[in-house]
Amino acid sequence: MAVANHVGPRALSPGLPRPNPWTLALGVVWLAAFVAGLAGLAERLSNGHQAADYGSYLTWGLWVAVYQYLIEMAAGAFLIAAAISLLRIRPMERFVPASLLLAITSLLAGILTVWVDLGRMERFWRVIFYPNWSSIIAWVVVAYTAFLIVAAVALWFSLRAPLAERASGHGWRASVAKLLLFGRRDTSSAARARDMKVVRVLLVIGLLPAIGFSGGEGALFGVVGSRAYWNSPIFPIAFLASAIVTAGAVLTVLGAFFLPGRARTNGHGVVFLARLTLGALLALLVLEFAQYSVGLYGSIPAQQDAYEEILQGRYWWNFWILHLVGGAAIPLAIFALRSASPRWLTGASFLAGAGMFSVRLNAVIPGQVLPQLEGIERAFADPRLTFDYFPSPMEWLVSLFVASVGVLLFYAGYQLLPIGAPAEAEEPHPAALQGGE
Amino acid sequence: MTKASRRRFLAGAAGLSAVAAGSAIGRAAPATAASEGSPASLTALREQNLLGALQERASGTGPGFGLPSAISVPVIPEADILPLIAEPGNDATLARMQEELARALEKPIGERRWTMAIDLKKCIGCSACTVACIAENHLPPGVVYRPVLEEESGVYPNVTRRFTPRPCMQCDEPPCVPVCPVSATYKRPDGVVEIDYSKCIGCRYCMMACPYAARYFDFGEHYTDGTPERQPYEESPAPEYQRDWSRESVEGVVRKCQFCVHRLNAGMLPACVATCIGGATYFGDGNDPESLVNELLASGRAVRLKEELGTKPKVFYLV
Ligand code: SF4
Ligand code: SF4
Repeated sequence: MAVANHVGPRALSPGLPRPNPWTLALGVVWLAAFVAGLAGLAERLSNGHQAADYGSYLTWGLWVAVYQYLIEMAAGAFLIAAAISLLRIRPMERFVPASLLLAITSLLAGILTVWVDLGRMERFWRVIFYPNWSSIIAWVVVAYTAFLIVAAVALWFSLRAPLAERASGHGWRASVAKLLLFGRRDTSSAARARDMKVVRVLLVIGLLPAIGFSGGEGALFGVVGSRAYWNSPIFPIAFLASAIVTAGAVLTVLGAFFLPGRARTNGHGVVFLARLTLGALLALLVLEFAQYSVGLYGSIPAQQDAYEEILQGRYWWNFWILHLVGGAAIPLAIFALRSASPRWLTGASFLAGAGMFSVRLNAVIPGQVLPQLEGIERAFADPRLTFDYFPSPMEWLVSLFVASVGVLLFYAGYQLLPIGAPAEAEEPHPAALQGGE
Repeated sequence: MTKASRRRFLAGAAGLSAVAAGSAIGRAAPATAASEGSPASLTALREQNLLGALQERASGTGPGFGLPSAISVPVIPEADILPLIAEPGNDATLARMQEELARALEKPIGERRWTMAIDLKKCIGCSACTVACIAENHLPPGVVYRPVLEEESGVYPNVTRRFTPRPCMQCDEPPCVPVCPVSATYKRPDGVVEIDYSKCIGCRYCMMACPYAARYFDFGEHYTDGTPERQPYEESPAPEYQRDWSRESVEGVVRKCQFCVHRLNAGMLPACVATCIGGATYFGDGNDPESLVNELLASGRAVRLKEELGTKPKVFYLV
């Protein structure tokens, strides 16, 4: 992602990023990730799933974890936008369009991931035209569609007035703005107020699919009775909490480093978002404690085994080091010690958001490593019929491709649209911006 | 080591058939005995009409692979084998099941209920059924509809082993069916849980939901990949559900045991039943009160795997 160097009024219509070394370096990293990802995708498309490391006993691998991470990011971003708008947190309103853009782009990237994970990619349309309503996947697809439509329309209304302002200028951005306005160029405060009302209504409507598919992802696992670890009613709620952590972290980092006006006007928002992120992280830890303690101390051996596998099994480091230490203890310690510093809080938020990926891996992989039937992996000798799994290079590269496409989509939206410009021009609180470093 | 190189290593080390046969080779004494000639003791077996079936298996003319005679295997003392396979009336049992099958086929499909019973006391763990199934359904690497699980229990010197063949249970309440987002898998009127390979999108949610790990993803691999030439038999169409599924059409989808419905509809018992050396697998119409499977289910020995889940399998184990 490139960096925009604008502050103040110019921030409302960002220009092309200046080719400074920072921008250039990020651009090169992105390009390298994209090209490497393309190589992985080429392998996936030419040889199917053959280069993947999962098999028939451990069936879902890295891509399912990536997919869930991105879907959670989408749901979380939408929930944050809705909370800001509906609770009328004025200084935060400049984050609403960015949240909505993040929600749309991360959902698209998530859908791309799960599409690549299908055995027969060319048949994806069957889910849309021949859905089986008893399957949660079918409902989740409906929720995605509704979500995308609602989020896109809400984004349009939240940007209509800034687009109209931009359309009166010159250059390609003005032309794009004109195109996107569909002739609605009224920038009066009455029109802006109307827009915001529509945005609020849409955000309320969108809550249903957002909660639906975020919780639905949890339910997708929760209803699998054959896997003791997933068969827990806490899963759908924990998914919602981690959705807020994931999206909150991304928005904090975007606000601190990338969105227009980052230094002068985003400080207050960054602190708010980081606190929200870390609060949701705390909630998630409480839910996890409830889930793990019941699972471990309940007297159902199959469940105990699953939790012991997570805590002491072959992926112990994922839980203890990546999730608990890197993704929870360190960010919360920073929060406790440096709760007023935007810079420290951004770092803490970043760690919490990155740590959520290990939560996703933990939800997908250890849940599968216990055989449904004792000794099934020894009944027939084949590398696909084992419970050993570590993502193959192709799986990592395809994940990199998906991530770089997500970044590209967001960056394209950021360049084309006046992201960061609140529909109701609110002056942020400069006093909150510099504090506590 | 990647999956593919591990597979090549396995194939190279043990020979292709040996890989397909899993651990069967070491225990395949009956087949070896047949391929080694006809000692006098085997004449007795012929008189009981069993040798024909054994030879059919060994020569590869029947369902299942023939075992290459070059593979040397330990000869198990005949006295150990006979009580297991030479149960009086074993072929009469096959004949009875065959008759019941014909009778069931006369009824409308909705009135049949295909049911399997596996006698764990008779299974010798030879994996002949596993291999017969692979040959019958033209299964690629990594796809095995009927593996045989081994369990060892007891403390020396009182140690025993139990073998549990695991086909698809054709559950009456199958958890794999409602989760399929495109209705590619469903319960047929005769009780078999079918997958329409032309509709499956390969999402693998059903594999997650199956409590018996009975579903397999076809990765599109071949045993002879990495050798100078891919063998044509690996490209031959699969006959499942009485359709000729080309190799490409089943790549990237989920596959599983379907009680060989293509054989049933042609009046033949499933390949695993016909090849079971221990005579441990029984098959018939659960809706026929006179059927052998129903007799066995009434013996008081019948249990089902993971009964507590309420999946109501149509595969019973006699313990
Ligand atoms: S054993 Fe598994 S695949 Fe077979 S019907 Fe039952 S749930 Fe479905
Ligand atoms: S893998 Fe195929 S059969 Fe299984 S749930 Fe998905 S679409 Fe249905």
